[in-house]
Order: sequence, then C-alpha cells, then structure tokens
Amino acid sequence: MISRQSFDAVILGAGIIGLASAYYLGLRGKKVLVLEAGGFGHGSSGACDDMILLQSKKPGINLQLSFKSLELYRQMVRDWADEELDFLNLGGMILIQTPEELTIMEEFVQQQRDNGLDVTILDKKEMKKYQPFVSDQFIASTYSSIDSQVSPFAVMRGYLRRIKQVGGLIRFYTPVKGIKRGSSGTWAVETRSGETVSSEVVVNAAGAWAGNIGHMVGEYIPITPKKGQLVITEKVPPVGKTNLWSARYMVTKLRPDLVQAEGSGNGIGLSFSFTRTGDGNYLIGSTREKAGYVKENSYEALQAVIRQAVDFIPTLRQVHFIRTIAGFRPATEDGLFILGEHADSPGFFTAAGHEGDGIALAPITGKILSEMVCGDSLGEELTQLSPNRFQPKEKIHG
Amino acid sequence: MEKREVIIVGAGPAGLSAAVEAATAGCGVLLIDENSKPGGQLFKQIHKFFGSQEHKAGIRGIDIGKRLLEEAENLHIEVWLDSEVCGIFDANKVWVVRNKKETVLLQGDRIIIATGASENAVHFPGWHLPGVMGAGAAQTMINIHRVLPGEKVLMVGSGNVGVIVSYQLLQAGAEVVGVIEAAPRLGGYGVHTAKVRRAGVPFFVSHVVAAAEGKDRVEKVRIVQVDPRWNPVPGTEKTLKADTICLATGLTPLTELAFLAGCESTYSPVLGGHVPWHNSAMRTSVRHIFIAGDISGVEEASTAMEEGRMAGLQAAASLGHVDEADAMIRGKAIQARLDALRSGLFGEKRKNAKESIFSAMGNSNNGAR
Repeated sequence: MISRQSFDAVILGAGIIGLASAYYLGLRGKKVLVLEAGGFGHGSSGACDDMILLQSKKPGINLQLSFKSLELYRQMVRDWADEELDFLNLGGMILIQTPEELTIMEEFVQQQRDNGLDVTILDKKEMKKYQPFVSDQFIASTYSSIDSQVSPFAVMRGYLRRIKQVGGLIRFYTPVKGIKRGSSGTWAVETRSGETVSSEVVVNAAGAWAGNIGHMVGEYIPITPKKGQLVITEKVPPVGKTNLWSARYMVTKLRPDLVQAEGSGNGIGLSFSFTRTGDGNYLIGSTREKAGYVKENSYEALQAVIRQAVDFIPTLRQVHFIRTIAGFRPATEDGLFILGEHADSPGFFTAAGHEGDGIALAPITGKILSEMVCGDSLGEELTQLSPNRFQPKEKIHG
Repeated sequence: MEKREVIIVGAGPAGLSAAVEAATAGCGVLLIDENSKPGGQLFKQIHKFFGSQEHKAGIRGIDIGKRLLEEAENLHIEVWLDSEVCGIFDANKVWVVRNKKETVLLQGDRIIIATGASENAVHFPGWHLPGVMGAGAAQTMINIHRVLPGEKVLMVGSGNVGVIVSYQLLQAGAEVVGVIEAAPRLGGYGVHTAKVRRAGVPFFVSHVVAAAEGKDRVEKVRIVQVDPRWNPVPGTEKTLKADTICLATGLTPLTELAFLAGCESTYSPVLGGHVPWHNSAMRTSVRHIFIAGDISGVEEASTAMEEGRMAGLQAAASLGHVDEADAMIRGKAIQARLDALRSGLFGEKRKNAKESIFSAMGNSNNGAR
C-alpha cells in the first residue's frame, strides 16, 4: 500500500540512477516516490563492477560530467561518515597489446590531457613496476592516478536511507502498468497491483528497461540492453597496484564498429577489466553481448572471461573464481546517456542509458536531474543529452 | 559434448539414493561429488538412526553409507570424485571441473541437484579466533580424521547436531564445558539430550556468547543470559574456560547451483530459508532439474534418502524408464514413508512447511516450465 496519493515526483527504477535522482530531489524538498519492479539491487546496478573510471570517457560532456561526479563522490565520502562506501582511489591502467592500439591510445590520451585529465603512457618497463604480474604480451599501458571505485550497493543503501530520512517513499516489487496524463496536467501512474498515484513529475530511470516506460507515454527511447558477464575471485592479496583495463575495452566501448570490422571472432564483445574491491575480491570482466533480456550467465562467455584473465595475468591460475554475475548495460546509439525532459510530454523526464558508466555518473546525473526538475538555469551543453535528440529518427521510421 | 541420461550432483545420502533408484530403473547415471570420498555426511554419523524398521532405525549412519555405496557399486554407477560442478546452463548443460584441472561440459537429460546444506555461523566478538568452528567440522575431525579439535569445548546450540556432536566429543575424549541455547528451551531430541546431561554437561538456556577471548586462539568464552527480546541481561555474564567453540546454529540449503540454473525459489523459515520451489515429485520449475535432500529444505539423512529415491524414480519415469502406473505406486510408497518420517511433534511442522512449498506455485504441473 502506498500511504499517500500525490507526489512532487515519481521515480521509476531504484537502481543507482533512480536513487540518486530521488536523493537529490529530496534535498530540494520534493516529495518523492520511487517505484521499483524488482528488489534492491536486482537490476544492472547490482550486477556490474565498481569503477569510477575517467580514462574511458570520451573527451567532451562525458568526461566533464565524470569529473563533477567524482567530486560528488568525494563529498559523499566526507559527508556520509557513517557509511562504509568502499571508496578507493587506486588509479587505473589500460593495457596495450599492439602497436596499432598504442597509436590509437596515444592519440586518445593526448585528447584527454587537453581536456584536463591527468593521464600518461608508460613503457613496458614502467608498466611492470606497477603491474609485475601482467603477461609479457603487453607492450605499454596508460596510467592515471585519478581512477577510483566505490561499492554500488553501499552507495545505493546510503541513498535509500537518506531518501527515507527526508520523507521519501520507496516501493520494491511494484512494477508500473500505465502512465497517463490527467486533466489537471499531472501524471497518473498506475501500478500493476492497481494503485494509482498522481505526480507533477515522472522520472524514467528504468535503465535497460527505460524504453518500455517511454512507450507507456508514447515516447521513443532507443535504449537496448547489452549483457555484461563478470566473474568474481576469492579474496586475495593485491595483484599489482592499480585497477586494469585492456585497450580493447576502450575500443569495444568507444568504437564498437572497429571491433566488428576487425572480426574479433568472439561475438560476445569480450574485453578486459580487472578491479579490486574494498574486501580484496577481484571483479573481472567483461562482455558486451546482444542477448535481449536473457540474464543468465553462459558457459561460453564465462570460459572466455576466465581464459582471458589467466592469459593476461598468469598468476590468476592459482586463484579461485567464486561467483559470476550478469547485468544489462543500457546502451544508446550514440554512446551518450539520456537526461532531460521530453518536449512532447511536459513533466516526463528520462535519466537512463549510461551503458557502462552508470556508477561513475550516478551522482551528477541525479543532481542535474533535480536541477532540471526544479527549473534551474543550466548549461547549454546539456542539450546534447536531451531525449529529444532521437525524435526525428522516430518520425522517419514512424 | 558428452551426454548422460541422469547427472546427479552430490553423493551424500540424497544423491546416492537417487543414483541407486535411477540406475535400478535402467537410467545411465553419472554421480558427481567435489569430495574425495562419496557418502556426504553419513560417514561421520556414528550414532544410530531413529524411526521404524524400514527407515533403517537402529543402524548407524556410517553403516547406512556403506550399504548405499555397495548398492551403487553393484549397479556399476559411474562416479566422478574430486569434481566440482561450477554451473548449470541452458537447463541441461553441466560444467564440471575435474581434479582442479580439467574443464568438462556435459549434457544431461535430467539433472538431480543434491548439494545438501552448509552450517550457519553466528557472529560475536572473537568469532574469527582459531578454535571457533562449525559443529559439523568438529564432527568430521573426530569421526573421520580422528583428530580432537580441542580439549575444552563449548557447544553453541542445543538442537540435534549440538547434542549429538557434544556426546561424540565426550566419547572422543574432550571435555564439553557447556551447551548453550539462545531459546528458552532445549531443541534436540530427548534421547540425545539426556545422554549428554547424564554425562554431567551443564546446559544453559536463554544464553548466548558475549565474546570469545584469547591471544592467538580461543582461551575463554563469556556467555550471557538474554531476555525474551534477545537483549543481554546485565549482571548475568559467566566466563567459561574453553579452547574450542562449536557452532551448531542451524543449516542453510546450498541452493546456488539451482538458482544459477534458473530454478524459481520460495522461502521457508522452518526448512532453512530460500529453497528451490519443487513439487512432491521433487521436480523444480526448470523441467529437466530435480532436487533432493537438504537443498530442498533442511531435514535429516533419513528424509534425504527418501527424497533422493523419489527424485531418482521420478527422473527415470519422466524419461520413460518406469511406466506410469508403476511410478505412481512406487511414488506413493515413498511419499508414505516420508509422511511417516514427518510425523510427531517436530515432524508435523516440517510436513506443513514442505506442503506449503509444494503449493507455492499452485498446480505443480503448471509450475514446471
């Protein structure tokens, strides 16, 4: 039972993006209700790695917002003294295998440096100082001291508690059946169990499922699920000093066309990410698969992830892999997430489509969303993220 | 990919019984266990079982284990030991790592998961010290490896595991300095409890561990009385000298494989928590997959064996090895034995819990996918 009937904002989705949005709206004094179809952490935010990776961001709005988001995380660590957020600043390195990758990465690193990111290229000898366990097949790497990480579960729990403290409501296992525009201009959100609440604002933070929510109000939101599978190791002593990614991870993420053209052959978008959690387990990934909404782990993908890990870091042969996870990265066509109000549906906002950057970008997404809802004047550059950028294409197809 | 008709994960009482039943019906069976020896927990159960004649009452667990192994050998059942099952994919593919070396992917027409349960831990200051262990671990040490875990033992939990292991520790030459129970009354069968009491072991009801203390291992333990709301009562702390604390604080079904395979779950506090939903034929929501024993709800070795037989029979029947009428008659006989095991003061609760699992998905046939 939902104890009141009307809200300032109803947020659909209690993943990290929905919770961040509800948290920042609550700080602005809004009465919020969060509706989640599943349970706590059942979606992508509970089945991903923990990185706040700046090196992977394209220079431009994603990188700018990542800087701001990292600052919000640092503030969170200071302000939420009672939460163990497992925030770590281990730095990150991107491992480079071929001269072609090196050329691409040198250019990419230069662009990032021009945009204010502290990142360098290390030669093999320097790389080995940080990462004595990586295989000899790598010829160089990048290094940035700024790459960080945080426990998504801990952040979500922290948001949850604070949303409740300011009177916000959260209902799990409460999928939405329909959203209609009432005569007074407010939205009527009906749950599958038949309850209806009204709200000035609806925030679609349904991640990989945001398209379905958009459909309920006749809005086209081109977000598709890409399955990412990871394996988790037992707790082990540190393997190297920083977290790791492969240059292929960057290419898979930034230039999926290149990976396909090159015929990587695996068909599962395999790339390498290697991050140490606060407890000493390693999260090792990952794949990017077009598998619809089939969430099960697959034998082939797990084998590929594990083989690659042992190939890249041979000492992992001695380590037990204790768990596996799979989650849907909500991907857009242009690699930018969606944040803003739909022009044809005033009061209906979308904050979704972060693909692999949801954890990194959650605080800044929530903060900007709250500013948009409150009608603050915001920078022109945010129009790049507007959901309305997809409208013309829909009409062509329509 | 190699194929087997029936692949059974776990060679404890449930898995062995399932293997024997399925192989007797004519199925090609592969039985897989991660340990170096089959038998699960049976071989450390040196006490006599309860129940009626047909439940092997009066026979020690270890002897029941030997008989089951003989039956399995006579049926030439294929057994892979030192083999870990790491996942089940597409409802019928089983990923096995053999001898920590070789990865094998097998296809099974039917899979029976009989992975048992794991011991629960309770947390208190000092719980990480060497000397704190599961009661089952202590039982393995004394009855299988013939090693005494310590000289002065405090048992936490007065259920059957707590009192049986206490008695066996006494037999093995340890001193049991006490059995503590958080609830206001004792939990185990009277017969087992009385044997421990007659040996002079003090029992403390409404008591919990306040802290274990010691430098490099447990040296002493502070216990404290709790009120009906489980809050410590000031002034009731006692310090006992002990080098070992055994935790007999319940078991949790080992459900990971079933859930990885996509089996729907249901919650049963009486039977140990989340268990895969199953019907009375031990079939889960994934059609190819059956379960048996503690994974389907924590009970006893005797019920585990009957559930194993049921799963083995029904898996064989679903493959056409047993004709329908025959399967029904034999299934009813097994069900009758299970009902008998689930009667009485303790049994009735488990029977009701089991029945609410069966009905959790409405009509069992519609529940299967």
